[in-house]
Amino acid sequence: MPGITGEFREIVEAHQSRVYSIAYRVLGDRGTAEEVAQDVFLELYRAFDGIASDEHLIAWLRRVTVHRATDALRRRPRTLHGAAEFEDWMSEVPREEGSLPLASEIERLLLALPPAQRVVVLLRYQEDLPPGEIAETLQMPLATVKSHLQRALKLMRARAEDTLKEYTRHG
Amino acid sequence: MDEREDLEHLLRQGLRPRQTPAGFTARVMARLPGTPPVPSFRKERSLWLPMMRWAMAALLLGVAGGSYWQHQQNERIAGERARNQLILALRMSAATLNDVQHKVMRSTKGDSE
Repeated sequence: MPGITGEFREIVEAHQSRVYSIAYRVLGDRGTAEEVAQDVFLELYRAFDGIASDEHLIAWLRRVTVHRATDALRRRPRTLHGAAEFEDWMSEVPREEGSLPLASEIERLLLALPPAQRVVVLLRYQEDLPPGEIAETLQMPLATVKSHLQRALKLMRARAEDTLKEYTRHG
Repeated sequence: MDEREDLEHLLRQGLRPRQTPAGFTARVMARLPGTPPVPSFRKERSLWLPMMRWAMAALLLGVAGGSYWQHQQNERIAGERARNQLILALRMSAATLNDVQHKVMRSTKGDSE
């Protein structure tokens, strides 16, 4: 195994941003996101012999990161339902220092979604996957993926009306 | 652009990959299982070390074998010297005995005349 460490380092450098972003946006905190991202790469190191191509590697990283992040999330569940609850929660979530205001607002809106919807939105808009590939990655029926996506967009649109108005006007 | 496209556009913009915290790669590499990768200077040293051990063992064997051989040689020389001394002593004794015998014979001859 030590013979592959040079190649493995390059892979970590090339894909860490993708893995960390998925973990962070599913979990909403940097510490746990980094732990999850590190664990994903250690798991990759053990499974490295079974990776057949770059496409396989990226699909593997997406799938394992989503699973490990949602596992971590299950250990501290929080689902928001009513608008009042959402407003309370939004005021608690700190804005990330150094991140762009739009990214920060989008991430706050994303974190307010139920986990399954959040993951589908992430794979759709961060990873740019079509619904069919999302269904494959999450081992979920295509109809469920589409329904999560529609509900998530409806919920986000309703909640974002005030928050994102200025970005749509200037964007 | 309708309302849905607007939101989708914003989502794509807002969900660009984030930068990982500084030192992330080093922390992952430090957690890899098994033997850590050996830097080249340590690789050279790790090749020299067994060779040095074998050379030291061969040297010790040579020194021990040499001193044993030297000891055997010394014993052989001492043995030969002792043997030569004994032979000389025996020769000298034989010569002395001959002299004594001649003297005795001469004196016995003189007495009878």
